[in-house]
Amino acid sequence: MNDAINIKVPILARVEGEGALELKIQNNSIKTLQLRIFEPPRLFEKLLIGRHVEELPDLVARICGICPVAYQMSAVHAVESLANYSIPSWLHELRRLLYCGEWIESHALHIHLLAAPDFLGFSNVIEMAEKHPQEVNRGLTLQAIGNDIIQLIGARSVHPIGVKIGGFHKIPETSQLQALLQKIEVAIPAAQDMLTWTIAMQRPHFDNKLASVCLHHADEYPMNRGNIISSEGLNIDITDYEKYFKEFQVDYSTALHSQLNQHAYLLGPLARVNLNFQQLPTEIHEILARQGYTLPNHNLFDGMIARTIELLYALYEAQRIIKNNDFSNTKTPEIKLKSGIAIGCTEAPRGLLWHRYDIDEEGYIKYAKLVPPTSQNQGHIEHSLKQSLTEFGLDKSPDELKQYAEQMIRNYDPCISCATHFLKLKIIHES
Amino acid sequence: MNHKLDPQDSIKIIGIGNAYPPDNLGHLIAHQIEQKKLISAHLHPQFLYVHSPTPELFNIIDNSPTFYIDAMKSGQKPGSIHCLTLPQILCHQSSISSHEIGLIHSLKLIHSLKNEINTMAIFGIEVSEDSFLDDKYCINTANIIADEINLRSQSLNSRCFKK
Repeated sequence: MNDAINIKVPILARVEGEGALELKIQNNSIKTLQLRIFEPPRLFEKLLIGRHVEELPDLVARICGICPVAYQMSAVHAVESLANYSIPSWLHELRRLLYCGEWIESHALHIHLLAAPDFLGFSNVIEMAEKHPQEVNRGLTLQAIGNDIIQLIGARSVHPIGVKIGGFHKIPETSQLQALLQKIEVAIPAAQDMLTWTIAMQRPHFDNKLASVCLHHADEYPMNRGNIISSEGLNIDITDYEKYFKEFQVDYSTALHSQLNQHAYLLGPLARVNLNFQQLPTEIHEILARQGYTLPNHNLFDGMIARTIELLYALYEAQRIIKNNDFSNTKTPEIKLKSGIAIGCTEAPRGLLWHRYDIDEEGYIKYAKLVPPTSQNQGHIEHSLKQSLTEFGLDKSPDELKQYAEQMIRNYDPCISCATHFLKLKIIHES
Repeated sequence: MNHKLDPQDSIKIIGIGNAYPPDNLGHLIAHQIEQKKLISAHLHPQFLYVHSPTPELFNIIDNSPTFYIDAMKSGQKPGSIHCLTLPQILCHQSSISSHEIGLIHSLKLIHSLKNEINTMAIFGIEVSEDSFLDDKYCINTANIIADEINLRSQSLNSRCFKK
């Protein structure tokens, strides 16, 4: 038997963007494993230089078709922090509702269309739909509700334009919110069923012991605000991010890698539910208890369950916000912009999205730095692949190794277009 | 089974894309056809405009004969018009990613979930990032596609694309 194997996954399927995986195996151990992101650099930061901060919400929304709200939220919070803007509670709530829309849309898409086929043994959702039409119907219905929320508040479901510094260009009518509430209330039982469905799925097991990182706020499940915390005890203000997190280049990826204390770390739904379990509502605690599912849980293949928990949470939260708020007499105040270093950090569906803008006296951007979650997760993905593929068995066939590696990567729901800002697998067995 | 268009029935013409060029071309062409009333009135054309195909189409597609207009990239000369029929759509092989769930993927998925839908054709207009398709092109293309929709709708008695 030849003991040197090269495996190449030339294009990663069912992930967002273009990347590949190259794996060199020698004497039944991994010699090289590289997650190659070859999507060209998109130069977002450079494109923002010289633009006025008032253009930011519309410009950054164009970076990603899946998480435009996250980009808008990190940007507006950054600029507003410089102006010492005290965000009114109605605005905090309406922004949170908009963010719920993005989480629902993104998570529903990933769970049903991208991840579930792996766990149920189908090559894609079109095959899965033949055998599981009700589940796929449910996924599309939930995704549509997320889109409806973004459409109503953001004025468009893709690349929304309703957000401005200090608030919104237009506040939705009460009747429109009530119509949305009816759809959300119908969707909640479907999302509850979905949580039971994902927990019952057969799944592989792999624990990664590296740190998990996310926002944390005493009063709420994290979306728009909070300190950056880790499973290792880190608890810092978002303005201190650059003191602890270091970005660096590797020669095989157009996306920067990132480390905390010289180690890779995990972002995203699994990190959030593990570190913010107490912030989830009683209804979710009760469903999880009935299913015998406990948190924290470090099995990376449970990422889909974490997404389902968050999708259900986002529906509850959207319901709460619409029921408890009257937005009819709200008005976006004028904000006096200030120069300086503006920092914003919010929780995109895939994890921490950190922004820094250096703004001059006229309000123009002199420097911009955007650190998206997928680039931060690259090191953790590689670390998980090295360990889990070894546990899985490097003597498995190239097809089995490829399938396992892709499923592992999809657990992270990587958004490569944001990270370059993804997978072809190449496996090389060497003698 | 043949599909007959009853007098009270309408056909749907759906423009796909976002607000930005070149992806907005599907909307622009459909809008031209609507504004210039290029579809025979007896077909009672209903014009719809969607941004993200899968969830939006899933909710609005019914058994009406439906034509789609979308920007497309296949490497051919910008401005070329492709016409794909349902058998061609269902035979299409490609992977799915969250940014790459295009119109063809969406229609394949929706056809597997809904029995009573009636896809007549997709008109794909070839675009590229560095080409500009001017107003004259849009008007000419709208006329060509409208003629094709009128022609294909007249033969509804003999043509059927139901699953």
